[in-house]
Amino acid sequence: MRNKIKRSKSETVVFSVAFVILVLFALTYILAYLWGAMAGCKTHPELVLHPFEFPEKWMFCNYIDAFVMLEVNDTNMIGMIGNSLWLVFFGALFNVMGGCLMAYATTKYQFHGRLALITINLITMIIPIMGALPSQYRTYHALGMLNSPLILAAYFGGFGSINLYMTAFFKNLSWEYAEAAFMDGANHYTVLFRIMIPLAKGPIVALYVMQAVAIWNDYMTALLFLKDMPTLATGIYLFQATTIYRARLDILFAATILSSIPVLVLYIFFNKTILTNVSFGGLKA
Amino acid sequence: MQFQAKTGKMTIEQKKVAVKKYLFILSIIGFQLINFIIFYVYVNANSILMAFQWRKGSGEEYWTLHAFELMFSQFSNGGSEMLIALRNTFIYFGLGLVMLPISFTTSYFMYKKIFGYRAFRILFFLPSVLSAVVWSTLYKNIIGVDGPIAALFQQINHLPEPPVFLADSRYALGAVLGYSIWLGIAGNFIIFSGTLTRIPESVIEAGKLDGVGWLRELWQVILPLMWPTMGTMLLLMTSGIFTSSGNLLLLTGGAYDTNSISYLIFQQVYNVAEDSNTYNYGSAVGMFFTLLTIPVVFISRYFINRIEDVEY
Repeated sequence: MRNKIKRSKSETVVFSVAFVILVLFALTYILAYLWGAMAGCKTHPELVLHPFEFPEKWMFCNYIDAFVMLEVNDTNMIGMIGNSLWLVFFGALFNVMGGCLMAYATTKYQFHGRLALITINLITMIIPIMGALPSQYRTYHALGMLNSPLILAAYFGGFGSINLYMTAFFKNLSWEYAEAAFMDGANHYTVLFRIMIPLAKGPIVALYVMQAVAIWNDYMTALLFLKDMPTLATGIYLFQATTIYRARLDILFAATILSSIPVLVLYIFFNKTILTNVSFGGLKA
Repeated sequence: MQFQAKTGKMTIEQKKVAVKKYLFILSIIGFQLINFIIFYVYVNANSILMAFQWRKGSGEEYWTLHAFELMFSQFSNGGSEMLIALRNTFIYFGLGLVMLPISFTTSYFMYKKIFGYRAFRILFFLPSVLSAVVWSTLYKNIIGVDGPIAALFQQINHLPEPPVFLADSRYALGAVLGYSIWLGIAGNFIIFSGTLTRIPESVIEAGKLDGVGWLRELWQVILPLMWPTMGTMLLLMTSGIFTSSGNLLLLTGGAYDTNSISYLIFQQVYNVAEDSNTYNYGSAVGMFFTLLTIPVVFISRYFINRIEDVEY
């Protein structure tokens, strides 16, 4: 049975005003998205001449044509989706694994260098070093990581926000299960993979989904380091500089909307997991 | 509780246990350490060296302060791209500060189950879920010359022609900020929501039983519990002050007086040949602003550390 929330008069007034503002903002998101979807169903001349009117004939075929016509650097949309998929799958996996294991080690074990690692995490987070991009580019080039799946090596870091989230989680996770397992003869790996990781499943899944969405949407990495292997987000950006774009604006919108569907589906399924599992506290060393 | 090796004189058995522990730790953090050494330590050390190098026409590099000289000459040149970028960086940072309490308020209303909160929870996360490429494509067209906003603006201001918001220095910065406000109302929504849902129901219920009203509950119960998270976010934001920027690549390409320091650095690399001196210039600019960031970080941390950490 649903509990009806009782609010005081002043609360009702404030919540009513807030409701109206939230509805207005939400409407702008919905309308903008729907307009984009509709624009993808128009012909190019129609879109240029009457961008905000309903199409005379709904060109749903644009959504199929986009798969072939959206082409950048000899890669079409199917190729871009492929590039996005491997980058998302492994990039998010390495990123979450790296941060999670580092957080586990520094939270649950005492060892020489532990404090140094915690301090490094803090420093890297609070002092954003600017201007390393030129050096980063040259380093990737020297290591043969440009236009190569080797770029994934850069995702296997142990410091940063994933570490911060997982540290907050592991700090509050009881060590008693582990102690009991050690008493029964379990080794460190058994405790980690059979006890602690399953207990941390909620935040790990939430962070994985968040990272997957972030990498799917990241256009900068591929723009700079994977020029010959454009991902879908990069492809859509680069398409706007091509000559086909000037004649087929409809294709751009169809592709833009198509690119958003996987993350929308992912979010609809996982929004509760994300919203209830991700939090962090203070940043004190 | 943590796994601790016994201190003092160890027996062979204890030594074995300690070695096993260290091998285990190394096996789970070894890759990350190598990653850190290459992609953080080396990259940044190399970046510092690059800031003091310049390339001759023959391709040979030599040590010099030329990149810094070039940068400082930009500071003394009124109306230079550097000064515009610096001014805008502060504006983008200021907007970020303003948006922080706004996005918290949005999360608070959803936490308090405002009517329709389930739908809002999905809708307000759309800006984070969908790519900036998607939003910027939609935004550029909606505020474009043929769009309703330009027409409305033209009518209100009695302009002869609708404005080209993103290609006119008078409006471009406002249009970039407008984009950030439009999509930023629920920024940090995940972090705020995650932290709010962790507040024990018993704490809220106890307040209610004591007759605490909603405003007092927000001010004296919820906000104090949120301070550590809020403080962390403020610290990260203030320490990243010089990285503040709008979505320039997708909206204006840094043109029409919208540039920021971080985008200025990006421009030194993007679509520029790798042996170009702009790489060294970008490194020098980055190094200079990183050094400026350090006192900001210490001052911020001083204030953040005064906030009581709350465990719940």
